[in-house]
Amino acid sequence: MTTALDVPAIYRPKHQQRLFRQLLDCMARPGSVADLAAWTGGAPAALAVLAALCDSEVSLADPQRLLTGGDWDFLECRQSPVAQARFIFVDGTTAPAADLEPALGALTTPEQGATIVIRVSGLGTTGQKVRLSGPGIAAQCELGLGTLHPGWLDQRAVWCRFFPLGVDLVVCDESRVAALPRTTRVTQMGMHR
Amino acid sequence: MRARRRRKPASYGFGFLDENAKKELRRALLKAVAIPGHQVPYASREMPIARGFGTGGLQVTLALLGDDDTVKVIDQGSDVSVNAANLRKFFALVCPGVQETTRTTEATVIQTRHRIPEQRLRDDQILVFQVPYPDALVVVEPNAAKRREMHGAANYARLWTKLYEDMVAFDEITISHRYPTRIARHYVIDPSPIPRWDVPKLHMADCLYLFGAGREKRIYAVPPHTPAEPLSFSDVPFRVEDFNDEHGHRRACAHCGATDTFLDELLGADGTKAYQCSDIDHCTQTAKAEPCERSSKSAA
Repeated sequence: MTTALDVPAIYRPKHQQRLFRQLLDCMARPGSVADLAAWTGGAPAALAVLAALCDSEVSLADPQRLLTGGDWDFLECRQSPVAQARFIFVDGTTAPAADLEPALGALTTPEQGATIVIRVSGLGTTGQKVRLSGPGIAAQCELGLGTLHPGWLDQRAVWCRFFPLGVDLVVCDESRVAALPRTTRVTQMGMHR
Repeated sequence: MRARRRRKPASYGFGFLDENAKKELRRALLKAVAIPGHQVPYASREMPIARGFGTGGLQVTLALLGDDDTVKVIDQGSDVSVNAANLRKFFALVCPGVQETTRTTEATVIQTRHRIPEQRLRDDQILVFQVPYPDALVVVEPNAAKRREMHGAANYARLWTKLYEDMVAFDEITISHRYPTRIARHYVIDPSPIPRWDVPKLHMADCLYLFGAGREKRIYAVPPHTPAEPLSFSDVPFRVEDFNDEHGHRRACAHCGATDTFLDELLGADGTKAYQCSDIDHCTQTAKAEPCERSSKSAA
């Protein structure tokens, strides 16, 4: 049995505050990569992001069954089909499933567009390189999206076609995180060597 | 009178709000940043101060603060007014470890009532606004549901018409504060009752601006490096307050001598007017840094 003494670090309020501030900074400055390692206690960054934001008030979809029963117990959120979920957790190394249709919000409630937490590896340094511009970015910047399948960027462009509707992506590798809010314009530039 | 007993900080959880409330605020804040200028609804909690005294800003700040933060609170530029001093004391009481400061440069989080500090904020600083009326369209459309539709479609025709009518009637746009400002070329926000002087500081800033309206239960944001354009006509450019005297000379602050700051008009007992910086910290620092220059200015 888990006691209050061995609650994983990412579920402790102090750690969640630090994780949130890093995430807020990433969301405000798309293209910046934050290292969460100091506050995750060894947990994967993607799980840390979910822990910092989810509680029993929100719905989470896990279409690829990446979370364990223990994760669900601590996250406390409702399991939900993708189309209704506020948060969606996926692995980004393969192309998005053809039937993946996240909530995009409505014209009067764009905040109900889903937040998609995508797990990759080698964020920031390797793989699919993109050029970003838009709110939060001084002129433009470059970001390596690691093992993210390019299909996700194509699909994101479709989802975010009609601002203010869209989805916000939080891309995580083992310990680092970067955000692509719906306002960010993404140009694919090929692969990092 | 008996001195008030000091309450033990331990009687509250860190940051006063419960963790679920903070998480909800944090989710709303992230969406607000992702959709610049959009008013994200949230469940505004009852706070130990009355609604209308900055509960929105207070909740946003409490959701942000960690024990490594340094917080500053200003009320119309002043760190020492009742509203600012009490909010700052409240943060110190419920957030053990958080440092209080009055220096703009030292703060990581600044909560403000109706001013943006004169000194340009850095990219590691967050400015939290207390917002009484979050919706710029409220002056032209009383129905909240209709306003949300108009915002979604970026339909600001009636706001433009209001500005045009001002020009027809008064030869000038008569909005002195809460100047409607377009964020990232879509949403028009009410930037809270900051003077026109501060509106250009929202444009392509280095810092993050967060807006919390407690009574109206809305949160919105202007991310760094985001265009923020006050509504104006191509032949009637936006202009800020004019601090020139009757001879056309820029008035200087009576305390520090600065001629590039927002000035408050102070009336003396004998009816004389004096002008002084509204941003007290900036004024104090300028006065400290340039005593020689100041004395030469006052001699002239």
